[in-house]
Amino acid sequence: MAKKILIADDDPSILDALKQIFESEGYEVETSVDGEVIAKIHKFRPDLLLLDIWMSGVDGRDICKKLKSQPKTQHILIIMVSANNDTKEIAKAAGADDFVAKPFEMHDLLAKVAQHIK
Amino acid sequence: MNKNVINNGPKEPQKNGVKKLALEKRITNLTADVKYAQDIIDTVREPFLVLDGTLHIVTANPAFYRMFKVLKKNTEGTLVFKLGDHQWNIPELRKLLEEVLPKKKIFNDFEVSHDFPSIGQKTMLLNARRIDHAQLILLAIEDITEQKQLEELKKRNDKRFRALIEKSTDAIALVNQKGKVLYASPSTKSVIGYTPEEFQKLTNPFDLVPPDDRKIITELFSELLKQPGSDKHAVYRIRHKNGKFIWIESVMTNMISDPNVGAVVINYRDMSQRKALETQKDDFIGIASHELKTPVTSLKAYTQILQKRFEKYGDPVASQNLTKMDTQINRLTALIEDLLDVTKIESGKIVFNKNVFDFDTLAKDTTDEMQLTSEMHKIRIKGEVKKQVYADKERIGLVLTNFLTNAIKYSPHADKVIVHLSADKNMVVVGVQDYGIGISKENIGTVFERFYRVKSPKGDTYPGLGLGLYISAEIIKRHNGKVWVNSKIGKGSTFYFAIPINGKPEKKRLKVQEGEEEVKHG
Repeated sequence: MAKKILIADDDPSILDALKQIFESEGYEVETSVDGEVIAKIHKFRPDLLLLDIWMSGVDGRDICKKLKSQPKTQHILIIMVSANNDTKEIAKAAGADDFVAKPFEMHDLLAKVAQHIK
Repeated sequence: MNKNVINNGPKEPQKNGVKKLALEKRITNLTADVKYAQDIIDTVREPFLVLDGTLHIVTANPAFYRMFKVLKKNTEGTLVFKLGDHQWNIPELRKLLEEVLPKKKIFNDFEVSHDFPSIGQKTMLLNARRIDHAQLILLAIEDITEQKQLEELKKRNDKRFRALIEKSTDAIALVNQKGKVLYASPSTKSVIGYTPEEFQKLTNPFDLVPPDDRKIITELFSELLKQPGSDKHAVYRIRHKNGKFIWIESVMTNMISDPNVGAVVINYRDMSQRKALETQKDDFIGIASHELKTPVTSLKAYTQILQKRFEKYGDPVASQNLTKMDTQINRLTALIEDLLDVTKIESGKIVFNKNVFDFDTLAKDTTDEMQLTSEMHKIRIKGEVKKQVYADKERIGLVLTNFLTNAIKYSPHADKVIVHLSADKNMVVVGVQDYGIGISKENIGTVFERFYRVKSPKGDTYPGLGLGLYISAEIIKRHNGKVWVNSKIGKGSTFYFAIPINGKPEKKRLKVQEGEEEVKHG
């Protein structure tokens, strides 16, 4: 069965491009553009969440902390994404499994996701 | 007249001999006295007049003739008010000579200002004596014009300097060795809310500085006291009378050993507004580069998707072009990163993510990546580090990328670039050597400065923001390393950096330093 990835970002173009990339690699992809990540998580039950740190109106760190603190969702792998490389430590502190800086090299991103999902 | 008396002497009868002798003696003495008096008058540097009872001039001294440019023949015997075409017809003088002197016999230091047609505006001090037995008046004239002008000038200068201090928007204070405020300018009120009097009552002006800044500023002050004539520059917070903290830019100058000042001069400039603007600028650049990165991210993703598709469906030309396009997107990203980095460096907010990594691998990866940007140059690595290094891998990679970018950019006719790697017990040394245009001696000191850009011999500039080497130098400095360059014009340059292998945690940066450094608050 295909592994499931949920991508949360407030930019539709990034979501569109990432969806294409992961789908072409055989993943099942859902996207969340409006910050309704938690609701989508419960519905879609992804293996991995690609989570933008700074989304308009929502703080990715809070979502990350919440998911990692609840038994039902703490198994979900979370890779945080930010345009700011300095937020790497912030991502780690929020309990994320990994961090990727924007803009990314496709093969780096795919390798990172594959390495976590296995 | 005297001469006649003396010559007539021997013709007198013998009886009168003694009388005659006495008279002769008296006359001789008198002659000597007159000569003596004349000598005094002539020697005095101040103009001097002897008038008779009717105010006609009996005699004047050379200083008088010199100063008032009149001749002896037109002077002696003339009514003083008629002298020199009536230019001495001064109402005050008339009053003094005609009314005051007959009653009082004397007047002293009477100041008169008068515009003489021959010599212009003069201020004089007049002193006079009435010598009744000789029916003479002695009038001494002291020219104090220059002295008056100097006094006026001094008064004006005093007023001007006072105005400079009092009307300056900066607050200025004089503080003694013990930190007691001796003087505070009126602007103290507009800068920190306290009136100069209130400010002077403080036991110490640094009492208004919050504790963490106070320690630094007090240390700086005692350091300043040890160096007469030196000055210290600091940026710190001060508690305004309204209770809020404001940012102050301050220059303290030690003038204690100057006997006329005997204090430390402290200049306070309110820089809250500038600070706010700086923060606004930093925030703006932060937001702008974040916003710029969003479309770049999707652009890059789409490019890579397309590149992969063309590769898969067998269109190598399209695929190669898309790879080139991706490289250009990387350049754009690097420019955005530079902007962001320079802002962070300036605001002291740069954060390093230090990790242990294999240096040779980083050098190889970076070099391989850079090789893609130039078909002309073969980039070769010479030597190796063979060590694990503790540093910010991405930013050290950025420094190497910047050095390589420059090496390629400034050697348009060369076919190679060499990366020299070496290490000793403590340091990794990296040199990037090119065979390009080189740097002239006068420019070699400034290449690591912000916004420095190379000009070709024709005066054209090369593309770029002029931030790469500045950022590189800052990154290396904050790793407690160093950067340097060897270069020969027309032969090429080698840019070096060295960083500690076991990059210890950074020394906490001293918050106040001399010169351009400023207080930073985390």
